[in-house]
Amino acid sequence: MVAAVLLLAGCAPAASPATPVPSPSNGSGASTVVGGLDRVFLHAMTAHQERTLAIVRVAPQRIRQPGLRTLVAAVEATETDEVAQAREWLRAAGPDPGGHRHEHPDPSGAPDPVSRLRDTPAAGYDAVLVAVLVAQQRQAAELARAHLALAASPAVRDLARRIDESRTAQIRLLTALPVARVTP
Amino acid sequence: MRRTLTVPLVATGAVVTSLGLAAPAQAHGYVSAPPSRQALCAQGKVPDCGQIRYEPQSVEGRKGLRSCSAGITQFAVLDDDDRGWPATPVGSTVTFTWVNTARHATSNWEYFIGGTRVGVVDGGGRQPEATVSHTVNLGGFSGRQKILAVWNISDTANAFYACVDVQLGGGGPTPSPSPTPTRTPGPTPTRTTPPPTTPAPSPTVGGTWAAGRSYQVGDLVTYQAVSYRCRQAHTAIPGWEPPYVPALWTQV
Repeated sequence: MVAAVLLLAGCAPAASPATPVPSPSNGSGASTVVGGLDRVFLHAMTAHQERTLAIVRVAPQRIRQPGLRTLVAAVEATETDEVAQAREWLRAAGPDPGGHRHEHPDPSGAPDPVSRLRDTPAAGYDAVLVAVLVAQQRQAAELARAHLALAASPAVRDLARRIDESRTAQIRLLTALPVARVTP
Repeated sequence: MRRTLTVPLVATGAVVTSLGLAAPAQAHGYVSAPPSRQALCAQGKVPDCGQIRYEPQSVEGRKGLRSCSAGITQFAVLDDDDRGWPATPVGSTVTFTWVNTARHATSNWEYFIGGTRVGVVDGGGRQPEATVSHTVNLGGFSGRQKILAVWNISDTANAFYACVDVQLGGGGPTPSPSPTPTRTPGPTPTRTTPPPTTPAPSPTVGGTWAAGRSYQVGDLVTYQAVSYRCRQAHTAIPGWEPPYVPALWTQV
């Protein structure tokens, strides 16, 4: 529900005064022109972030460790905004030039962290969530880092830099929490 | 403006996940460094490439092919050696980085110059990281070379292909002592040293925003001479500077 509200806000800022479109530097919104690898990156990253949001939204009420609860809430809030911004850039860039497309499920062998979390009771929830989030944010940081040298749009490069930095820092925070370690 | 509300109104995990998977450009991977031909096209550094510009990660075909395009007609430009592909200057060893936008379980990665396999890295049938890097020794070669990089998927009959043009002896990485391709661990985030993130004991009034501090709702900070009020409790981290994260900070 939050995501939908924020997305609406992306097109109609007046609807949600709490959520200004971030525009700290290098322009944003419709003035940011994305194409080529930037578009590929934004598609891949938003798909990844949708999974991150699904992970943090499974059952936040089961989180016991207060630091984890705070961090997870902040991750949800910030990534919701990032996804809204990325979608706005992609919309402004116009429709994808179709062609050779194929969609298929996530590569096999990947355990679904969402269903794993859904099946985890409160007793072990913190540990599983930390393990899943560390793996998820490591992937995000790596994708972003790989794009730093390739980005054409300054705003997209800036986003990639912030994703790399923030996810790397989140992993440090997560692994410093007093939570048992389990395999991701 | 047309509103494209693709995020579900009911944000259940299942729905969000399936939407994420449906993102059309998510598929697969390509060599980002040294830039492959499809990366150069997508960056616009080589013009008039056609469809590959929009999906450099989609050069997929059955295993065992030896062309840059995987035989895909739309991508035939990748096979054309006369397109003025810039060759990246490299030393005698080259580190190739794949960006995997879909992380298929992998049997191996192979690297070819002409008919010679110059490198192979086992994937163990496992799902790779979002990016992987391999260092390949090209000590026996010189001058301009076209390297075919192949990512062999273990759970389908297919592979992904990328051609990378390099100029050997043109600088770049120093020679590696290892005679065979070695898999570099890649830039994995350090998870060893927990930072000194002791929570700030009391609400902060004023002061300069600082990574590592814990902020509560209502805390005031300045960042680059602008004042912000915290609107959601969090520990500040690099990348979450106040102007970038309106979910956490409101300018006052």
